Amino acid sequence: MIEQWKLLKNPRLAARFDLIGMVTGLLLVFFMFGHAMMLATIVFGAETMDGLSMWLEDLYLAQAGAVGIVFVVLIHFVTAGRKLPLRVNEQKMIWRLTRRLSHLDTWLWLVQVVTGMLILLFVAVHLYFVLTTFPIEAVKSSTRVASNFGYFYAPMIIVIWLHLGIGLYRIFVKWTPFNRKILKVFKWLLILGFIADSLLVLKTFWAIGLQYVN
Amino acid sequence: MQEYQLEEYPGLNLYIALNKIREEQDSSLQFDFVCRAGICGSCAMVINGRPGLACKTLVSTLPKTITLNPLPVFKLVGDLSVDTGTWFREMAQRAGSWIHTDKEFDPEAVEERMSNEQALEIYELERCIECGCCVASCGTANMREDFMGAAGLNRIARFMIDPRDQRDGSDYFEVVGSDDGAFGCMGLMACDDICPKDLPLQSQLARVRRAMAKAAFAPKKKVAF
Repeated sequence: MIEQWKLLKNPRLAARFDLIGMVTGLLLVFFMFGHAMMLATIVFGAETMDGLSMWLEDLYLAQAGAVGIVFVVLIHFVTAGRKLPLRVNEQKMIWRLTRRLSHLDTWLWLVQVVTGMLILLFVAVHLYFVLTTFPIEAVKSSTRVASNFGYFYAPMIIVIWLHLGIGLYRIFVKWTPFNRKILKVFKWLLILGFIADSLLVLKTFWAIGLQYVN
Repeated sequence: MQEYQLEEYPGLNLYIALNKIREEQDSSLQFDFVCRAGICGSCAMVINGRPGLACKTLVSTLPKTITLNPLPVFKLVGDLSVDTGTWFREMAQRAGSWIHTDKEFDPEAVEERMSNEQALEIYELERCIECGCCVASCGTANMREDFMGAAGLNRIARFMIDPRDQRDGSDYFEVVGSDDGAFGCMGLMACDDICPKDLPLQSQLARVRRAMAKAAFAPKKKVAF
Protein backbone atom coordinates (compact mmCIF):
# COMPACT_ATOMS: atom_id res chain seq x y z
CA MET A 1 0.00 0.00 0.00
CA ILE A 2 1.14 3.51 -0.69
CA GLU A 3 -0.17 6.83 0.57
CA GLN A 4 -1.46 8.49 -2.55
CA TRP A 5 -0.37 12.03 -1.70
CA LYS A 6 3.15 10.80 -2.38
CA LEU A 7 2.15 10.17 -5.98
CA LEU A 8 1.01 13.76 -6.47
CA LYS A 9 3.11 15.91 -8.73
CA ASN A 10 4.49 17.98 -5.88
CA PRO A 11 4.26 16.36 -2.44
CA ARG A 12 6.48 19.18 -1.12
CA LEU A 13 3.62 21.64 -1.39
CA ALA A 14 2.66 21.41 2.31
CA ALA A 15 6.20 22.36 3.32
CA ARG A 16 6.28 25.24 0.88
CA PHE A 17 2.88 26.53 1.91
CA ASP A 18 3.98 26.39 5.53
CA LEU A 19 7.15 28.34 4.77
CA ILE A 20 5.31 30.88 2.61
CA GLY A 21 2.79 31.36 5.43
CA MET A 22 5.65 32.03 7.83
CA VAL A 23 7.63 34.32 5.49
CA THR A 24 4.56 36.40 4.55
CA GLY A 25 3.68 36.60 8.25
CA LEU A 26 7.17 37.88 9.04
CA LEU A 27 6.97 40.40 6.16
CA LEU A 28 3.70 41.72 7.60
CA VAL A 29 5.26 41.92 11.07
CA PHE A 30 8.13 44.04 9.70
CA PHE A 31 5.69 46.13 7.70
CA MET A 32 3.64 46.80 10.83
CA PHE A 33 6.76 47.76 12.81
CA GLY A 34 7.64 50.25 10.06
CA HIS A 35 4.05 51.46 9.75
CA ALA A 36 3.83 52.05 13.51
CA MET A 37 7.13 53.95 13.54
CA MET A 38 6.12 56.13 10.60
CA LEU A 39 2.74 56.94 12.16
CA ALA A 40 4.51 57.79 15.41
CA THR A 41 6.18 60.74 13.65
CA ILE A 42 2.86 62.59 14.24
CA VAL A 43 4.06 63.03 17.82
CA PHE A 44 6.72 65.43 16.41
CA GLY A 45 4.07 67.41 14.54
CA ALA A 46 2.02 67.27 11.35
CA GLU A 47 4.89 68.70 9.23
CA THR A 48 7.25 65.84 10.16
CA MET A 49 4.68 63.23 9.16
CA ASP A 50 3.79 65.05 5.94
CA GLY A 51 7.48 65.30 5.04
CA LEU A 52 7.88 61.55 5.46
CA SER A 53 4.72 60.67 3.54
CA MET A 54 5.68 63.04 0.68
CA TRP A 55 9.09 61.39 0.47
CA LEU A 56 7.48 57.94 0.34
CA GLU A 57 4.99 59.06 -2.32
CA ASP A 58 7.66 60.73 -4.47
CA LEU A 59 9.54 57.45 -4.56
CA TYR A 60 6.20 55.61 -5.22
CA LEU A 61 6.91 53.52 -2.14
CA ALA A 62 3.54 54.34 -0.57
CA GLN A 63 1.59 53.41 -3.71
CA ALA A 64 3.58 50.26 -4.47
CA GLY A 65 3.59 49.35 -0.77
CA ALA A 66 -0.21 49.48 -0.55
CA VAL A 67 -0.64 47.16 -3.54
CA GLY A 68 2.17 44.88 -2.34
CA ILE A 69 0.77 44.60 1.16
CA VAL A 70 -2.67 43.62 -0.17
CA PHE A 71 -1.02 40.77 -2.08
CA VAL A 72 1.05 39.68 0.90
CA VAL A 73 -2.04 39.74 3.16
CA LEU A 74 -3.97 37.59 0.69
CA ILE A 75 -1.11 35.11 0.24
CA HIS A 76 -0.71 34.93 4.02
CA PHE A 77 -4.44 34.34 4.44
CA VAL A 78 -4.47 31.50 1.91
CA THR A 79 -1.31 29.75 3.17
CA ALA A 80 -1.79 30.24 6.92
CA GLY A 81 -5.55 29.72 6.63
CA ARG A 82 -5.06 26.10 5.57
CA LYS A 83 -5.13 25.23 9.26
CA LEU A 84 -8.49 26.88 9.92
CA PRO A 85 -11.25 24.61 11.20
CA LEU A 86 -13.61 25.04 8.26
CA ARG A 87 -15.85 22.00 8.75
CA VAL A 88 -18.54 22.09 11.43
CA ASN A 89 -17.18 18.90 12.96
CA GLU A 90 -13.69 20.41 13.25
CA GLN A 91 -15.14 23.56 14.81
CA LYS A 92 -17.03 21.49 17.39
CA MET A 93 -13.95 19.43 18.25
CA ILE A 94 -11.60 22.40 18.67
CA TRP A 95 -14.20 24.36 20.66
CA ARG A 96 -14.81 21.43 23.01
CA LEU A 97 -11.07 20.89 23.47
CA THR A 98 -10.34 24.58 24.08
CA ARG A 99 -13.14 25.00 26.62
CA ARG A 100 -12.14 21.89 28.57
CA LEU A 101 -8.37 22.27 28.43
CA SER A 102 -8.08 25.79 29.91
CA HIS A 103 -4.71 26.13 28.18
CA LEU A 104 -3.79 29.71 27.31
CA ASP A 105 -1.84 28.99 24.10
CA THR A 106 -4.77 26.97 22.74
CA TRP A 107 -7.14 29.85 23.53
CA LEU A 108 -4.71 32.28 21.90
CA TRP A 109 -4.76 30.25 18.71
CA LEU A 110 -8.54 30.77 18.57
CA VAL A 111 -7.93 34.48 19.22
CA GLN A 112 -5.55 34.46 16.25
CA VAL A 113 -8.14 32.79 14.02
CA VAL A 114 -10.81 35.36 14.94
CA THR A 115 -8.46 38.36 14.74
CA GLY A 116 -7.21 37.11 11.36
CA MET A 117 -10.75 37.25 9.98
CA LEU A 118 -11.35 40.68 11.51
CA ILE A 119 -8.09 42.03 10.06
CA LEU A 120 -9.31 41.24 6.54
CA LEU A 121 -12.36 43.46 7.18
CA PHE A 122 -10.40 46.21 8.94
CA VAL A 123 -7.68 46.34 6.26
CA ALA A 124 -10.24 46.48 3.44
CA VAL A 125 -12.05 49.46 5.01
CA HIS A 126 -8.80 51.21 6.03
CA LEU A 127 -7.24 50.86 2.57
CA TYR A 128 -10.43 52.07 0.89
CA PHE A 129 -10.38 55.33 2.86
CA VAL A 130 -6.62 55.85 2.56
CA LEU A 131 -6.45 55.16 -1.17
CA THR A 132 -9.56 57.17 -2.10
CA THR A 133 -8.21 60.22 -0.25
CA PHE A 134 -4.62 59.93 -1.51
CA PRO A 135 -2.07 61.51 -0.86
CA ILE A 136 -1.58 60.74 2.83
CA GLU A 137 -1.54 63.94 4.87
CA ALA A 138 -1.48 64.39 8.63
CA VAL A 139 -4.43 66.81 8.70
CA LYS A 140 -6.52 64.55 6.47
CA SER A 141 -5.80 61.50 8.61
CA SER A 142 -6.39 63.44 11.84
CA THR A 143 -9.72 64.76 10.62
CA ARG A 144 -10.76 61.24 9.66
CA VAL A 145 -9.84 59.94 13.13
CA ALA A 146 -11.64 62.82 14.87
CA SER A 147 -14.76 62.30 12.72
CA ASN A 148 -15.54 59.30 14.91
CA PHE A 149 -13.31 57.04 12.78
CA GLY A 150 -11.15 56.70 15.88
CA TYR A 151 -13.74 54.25 17.17
CA PHE A 152 -12.92 52.11 14.13
CA TYR A 153 -9.15 52.41 14.55
CA ALA A 154 -9.02 51.69 18.30
CA PRO A 155 -10.31 48.08 18.01
CA MET A 156 -8.32 47.66 14.78
CA ILE A 157 -5.12 48.46 16.69
CA ILE A 158 -5.89 45.88 19.39
CA VAL A 159 -6.87 43.20 16.86
CA ILE A 160 -3.77 43.71 14.70
CA TRP A 161 -1.20 43.70 17.51
CA LEU A 162 -2.84 40.69 19.17
CA HIS A 163 -2.71 38.74 15.89
CA LEU A 164 0.85 39.84 15.20
CA GLY A 165 2.20 39.14 18.70
CA ILE A 166 0.62 35.69 18.96
CA GLY A 167 1.69 34.83 15.41
CA LEU A 168 5.30 35.88 15.95
CA TYR A 169 5.40 33.91 19.22
CA ARG A 170 4.07 30.81 17.45
CA ILE A 171 6.66 31.10 14.68
CA PHE A 172 9.42 30.99 17.32
CA VAL A 173 7.71 28.13 19.16
CA LYS A 174 7.30 26.07 15.97
CA TRP A 175 10.78 26.60 14.53
CA THR A 176 13.18 27.18 17.42
CA PRO A 177 14.04 25.44 20.70
CA PHE A 178 13.90 28.76 22.64
CA ASN A 179 12.45 28.63 26.13
CA ARG A 180 8.73 29.30 25.92
CA LYS A 181 8.58 31.07 29.27
CA ILE A 182 10.90 33.77 27.92
CA LEU A 183 9.08 33.88 24.57
CA LYS A 184 5.78 34.41 26.41
CA VAL A 185 7.18 37.42 28.26
CA PHE A 186 8.42 38.92 24.96
CA LYS A 187 5.04 38.18 23.34
CA TRP A 188 3.08 40.14 25.96
CA LEU A 189 5.64 42.95 26.08
CA LEU A 190 5.35 43.31 22.30
CA ILE A 191 1.54 43.14 22.25
CA LEU A 192 0.94 45.51 25.15
CA GLY A 193 3.79 47.84 24.17
CA PHE A 194 2.60 48.32 20.60
CA ILE A 195 -1.06 48.60 21.61
CA ALA A 196 -0.11 51.35 24.08
CA ASP A 197 2.11 53.06 21.49
CA SER A 198 -0.54 52.89 18.76
CA LEU A 199 -3.32 54.13 21.05
CA LEU A 200 -1.11 57.04 22.07
CA VAL A 201 -0.50 57.89 18.42
CA LEU A 202 -4.25 57.58 17.75
CA LYS A 203 -4.93 59.98 20.61
CA THR A 204 -2.47 62.47 19.07
CA PHE A 205 -4.21 62.21 15.68
CA TRP A 206 -7.55 62.68 17.44
CA ALA A 207 -6.36 65.80 19.28
CA ILE A 208 -5.01 67.37 16.05
CA GLY A 209 -8.14 66.38 14.12
CA LEU A 210 -10.49 67.92 16.66
CA GLN A 211 -9.03 71.36 15.91
CA TYR A 212 -10.12 71.00 12.28
CA VAL A 213 -13.42 69.20 12.85
CA ASN A 214 -14.60 71.89 15.24
CA MET B 1 -22.60 11.34 33.10
CA GLN B 2 -22.47 9.06 36.19
CA GLU B 3 -21.78 10.50 39.66
CA TYR B 4 -20.03 8.84 42.60
CA GLN B 5 -19.16 10.09 46.06
CA LEU B 6 -16.03 9.05 47.89
CA GLU B 7 -14.41 10.09 51.16
CA GLU B 8 -10.96 11.55 50.67
CA TYR B 9 -7.96 10.57 52.81
CA PRO B 10 -4.32 11.70 52.72
CA GLY B 11 -2.34 10.27 49.82
CA LEU B 12 -5.42 9.18 47.86
CA ASN B 13 -4.75 9.30 44.13
CA LEU B 14 -7.25 9.01 41.31
CA TYR B 15 -6.20 5.51 40.41
CA ILE B 16 -6.94 4.23 43.93
CA ALA B 17 -10.14 6.27 44.06
CA LEU B 18 -11.36 4.66 40.82
CA ASN B 19 -10.51 1.20 42.14
CA LYS B 20 -12.45 1.90 45.34
CA ILE B 21 -15.45 3.05 43.30
CA ARG B 22 -15.28 -0.09 41.20
CA GLU B 23 -14.97 -2.33 44.26
CA GLU B 24 -17.56 -0.63 46.43
CA GLN B 25 -20.02 1.22 44.20
CA ASP B 26 -20.00 0.19 40.53
CA SER B 27 -18.39 -3.03 39.38
CA SER B 28 -19.14 -2.19 35.75
CA LEU B 29 -16.89 0.92 35.72
CA GLN B 30 -14.31 0.61 32.94
CA PHE B 31 -10.85 2.16 33.15
CA ASP B 32 -7.34 0.92 32.40
CA PHE B 33 -4.30 0.50 34.60
CA VAL B 34 -1.22 -1.71 34.80
CA CYS B 35 1.79 -0.28 36.60
CA ARG B 36 0.27 2.20 39.11
CA ALA B 37 3.55 4.15 38.94
CA GLY B 38 3.35 6.46 35.91
CA ILE B 39 5.33 4.08 33.72
CA CYS B 40 2.81 2.21 31.55
CA GLY B 41 0.58 5.14 30.51
CA SER B 42 -2.57 3.00 30.67
CA CYS B 43 -4.52 5.13 33.13
CA ALA B 44 -4.45 8.33 31.05
CA MET B 45 -7.79 10.15 31.08
CA VAL B 46 -9.17 13.68 30.95
CA ILE B 47 -9.11 15.00 34.52
CA ASN B 48 -11.14 18.19 34.95
CA GLY B 49 -10.56 18.98 31.29
CA ARG B 50 -6.84 18.20 31.10
CA PRO B 51 -5.37 14.87 30.00
CA GLY B 52 -3.25 13.26 32.72
CA LEU B 53 -2.39 10.00 34.45
CA ALA B 54 -4.81 8.87 37.18
CA CYS B 55 -2.01 7.17 39.12
CA LYS B 56 0.08 10.37 39.21
CA THR B 57 -2.80 12.63 40.26
CA LEU B 58 -3.42 13.16 43.95
CA VAL B 59 -7.06 13.88 44.75
CA SER B 60 -5.89 16.58 47.20
CA THR B 61 -4.59 18.63 44.23
CA LEU B 62 -8.07 18.76 42.67
CA PRO B 63 -11.27 20.58 43.64
CA LYS B 64 -13.99 18.71 45.56
CA THR B 65 -15.89 17.83 42.39
CA ILE B 66 -13.76 15.94 39.89
CA THR B 67 -14.94 15.36 36.33
CA LEU B 68 -13.35 12.50 34.42
CA ASN B 69 -13.70 11.85 30.70
CA PRO B 70 -12.06 9.37 28.36
CA LEU B 71 -9.21 10.68 26.19
CA PRO B 72 -10.56 12.12 22.94
CA VAL B 73 -9.10 11.14 19.51
CA PHE B 74 -8.72 7.45 20.47
CA LYS B 75 -11.41 4.81 19.98
CA LEU B 76 -13.63 4.50 23.04
CA VAL B 77 -13.79 1.08 24.68
CA GLY B 78 -16.16 2.15 27.47
CA ASP B 79 -16.40 4.67 30.32
CA LEU B 80 -12.79 5.90 30.81
CA SER B 81 -11.14 3.18 28.77
CA VAL B 82 -9.81 4.01 25.28
CA ASP B 83 -7.82 2.03 22.74
CA THR B 84 -4.49 3.85 22.49
CA GLY B 85 -2.76 0.67 21.31
CA THR B 86 -4.22 0.65 17.81
CA TRP B 87 -3.38 4.35 17.33
CA PHE B 88 0.22 3.92 18.50
CA ARG B 89 0.76 0.77 16.44
CA GLU B 90 -0.43 2.55 13.29
CA MET B 91 1.75 5.55 14.14
CA ALA B 92 4.79 3.30 14.69
CA GLN B 93 4.21 1.62 11.33
CA ARG B 94 3.85 4.95 9.56
CA ALA B 95 6.95 6.37 11.26
CA GLY B 96 8.96 3.25 10.43
CA SER B 97 9.71 3.00 14.10
CA TRP B 98 12.78 0.79 13.89
CA ILE B 99 16.45 1.18 12.90
CA HIS B 100 16.61 1.29 9.09
CA THR B 101 19.94 -0.03 7.93
CA ASP B 102 21.29 -2.19 5.12
CA LYS B 103 24.06 -3.53 7.35
CA GLU B 104 23.73 -7.20 8.08
CA PHE B 105 23.26 -7.98 11.75
CA ASP B 106 26.12 -9.92 13.26
CA PRO B 107 25.14 -11.29 16.67
CA GLU B 108 28.81 -12.05 17.42
CA ALA B 109 30.08 -8.53 16.70
CA VAL B 110 30.66 -5.88 19.34
CA GLU B 111 27.87 -3.31 19.37
CA GLU B 112 28.64 -0.11 17.44
CA ARG B 113 29.50 2.79 19.67
CA MET B 114 27.73 6.12 19.70
CA SER B 115 28.62 9.25 21.64
CA ASN B 116 27.38 9.59 25.19
CA GLU B 117 25.49 12.79 24.22
CA GLN B 118 23.65 10.97 21.44
CA ALA B 119 22.79 8.05 23.71
CA LEU B 120 21.46 10.37 26.40
CA GLU B 121 19.43 12.36 23.89
CA ILE B 122 17.88 9.19 22.47
CA TYR B 123 17.17 7.95 25.98
CA GLU B 124 15.45 11.23 26.84
CA LEU B 125 13.02 10.82 23.91
CA GLU B 126 12.61 7.09 24.49
CA ARG B 127 11.02 7.92 27.86
CA CYS B 128 7.67 8.36 26.05
CA ILE B 129 5.22 5.94 27.68
CA GLU B 130 2.63 6.22 24.87
CA CYS B 131 -0.09 7.37 27.26
CA GLY B 132 -1.68 9.52 24.53
CA CYS B 133 -2.02 12.69 26.66
CA CYS B 134 -0.14 14.77 24.04
CA VAL B 135 -2.40 13.52 21.27
CA ALA B 136 -5.57 14.08 23.30
CA SER B 137 -4.59 17.67 24.11
CA CYS B 138 -3.53 18.54 20.54
CA GLY B 139 -5.79 20.85 18.54
CA THR B 140 -4.73 19.38 15.18
CA ALA B 141 -5.09 15.75 16.34
CA ASN B 142 -8.58 16.51 17.66
CA MET B 143 -9.60 18.00 14.31
CA ARG B 144 -7.72 15.76 11.88
CA GLU B 145 -7.45 12.05 12.57
CA ASP B 146 -4.46 11.45 10.26
CA PHE B 147 -2.17 13.82 12.18
CA MET B 148 0.75 11.94 13.76
CA GLY B 149 0.75 14.08 16.89
CA ALA B 150 3.65 15.01 19.11
CA ALA B 151 4.19 11.35 20.00
CA GLY B 152 4.73 10.50 16.32
CA LEU B 153 7.02 13.45 15.64
CA ASN B 154 8.97 12.73 18.83
CA ARG B 155 9.45 9.17 17.58
CA ILE B 156 10.82 10.46 14.27
CA ALA B 157 13.16 12.84 16.13
CA ARG B 158 14.47 9.88 18.13
CA PHE B 159 15.50 8.04 14.93
CA MET B 160 16.93 11.21 13.38
CA ILE B 161 19.40 11.38 16.26
CA ASP B 162 20.30 7.68 16.08
CA PRO B 163 23.54 7.26 14.06
CA ARG B 164 22.64 3.64 13.29
CA ASP B 165 19.58 4.68 11.28
CA GLN B 166 20.61 5.27 7.67
CA ARG B 167 17.52 7.23 6.64
CA ASP B 168 18.26 10.73 5.35
CA GLY B 169 16.15 13.89 5.17
CA SER B 170 14.28 12.84 2.05
CA ASP B 171 13.39 9.47 3.59
CA TYR B 172 11.95 11.16 6.66
CA PHE B 173 10.22 13.67 4.41
CA GLU B 174 8.26 10.81 2.86
CA VAL B 175 6.94 10.02 6.33
CA VAL B 176 6.36 13.40 7.99
CA GLY B 177 6.85 16.05 5.29
CA SER B 178 3.14 16.81 5.04
CA ASP B 179 0.23 18.36 6.91
CA ASP B 180 -0.27 14.96 8.57
CA GLY B 181 3.21 15.26 10.01
CA ALA B 182 5.57 18.13 10.80
CA PHE B 183 3.58 20.82 8.99
CA GLY B 184 0.27 19.91 10.61
CA CYS B 185 1.50 21.15 14.00
CA MET B 186 0.02 24.57 14.73
CA GLY B 187 2.31 25.29 17.66
CA LEU B 188 -0.35 25.34 20.40
CA MET B 189 2.05 23.35 22.61
CA ALA B 190 -0.56 21.80 24.89
CA CYS B 191 1.40 18.57 24.29
CA ASP B 192 4.53 20.14 25.76
CA ASP B 193 2.66 21.54 28.76
CA ILE B 194 0.67 18.37 29.50
CA CYS B 195 3.14 15.49 28.87
CA PRO B 196 3.21 13.57 32.18
CA LYS B 197 6.84 12.59 31.54
CA ASP B 198 7.94 16.16 30.78
CA LEU B 199 9.41 15.22 27.41
CA PRO B 200 11.01 18.16 25.56
CA LEU B 201 8.33 18.05 22.86
CA GLN B 202 8.59 21.68 21.73
CA SER B 203 12.27 21.36 20.83
CA GLN B 204 11.71 18.00 19.11
CA LEU B 205 8.77 19.25 17.03
CA ALA B 206 10.92 22.23 15.99
CA ARG B 207 13.83 19.91 15.16
CA VAL B 208 11.67 17.75 12.86
CA ARG B 209 10.06 20.82 11.29
CA ARG B 210 13.44 22.40 10.48
CA ALA B 211 14.76 19.12 9.05
CA MET B 212 11.65 18.70 6.89
CA ALA B 213 11.83 22.30 5.62
CA LYS B 214 15.45 21.65 4.64
CA ALA B 215 14.47 18.38 2.93
CA ALA B 216 11.71 20.16 1.00
CA PHE B 217 14.34 22.24 -0.80
CA ALA B 218 16.90 19.48 -1.25
CA PRO B 219 17.37 18.04 -4.77
CA LYS B 220 14.91 15.25 -5.45
CA LYS B 221 16.10 11.65 -5.45
CA LYS B 222 15.87 9.88 -8.77
CA VAL B 223 13.61 6.87 -8.47
CA ALA B 224 13.56 4.24 -11.20
CA PHE B 225 10.51 2.04 -11.58
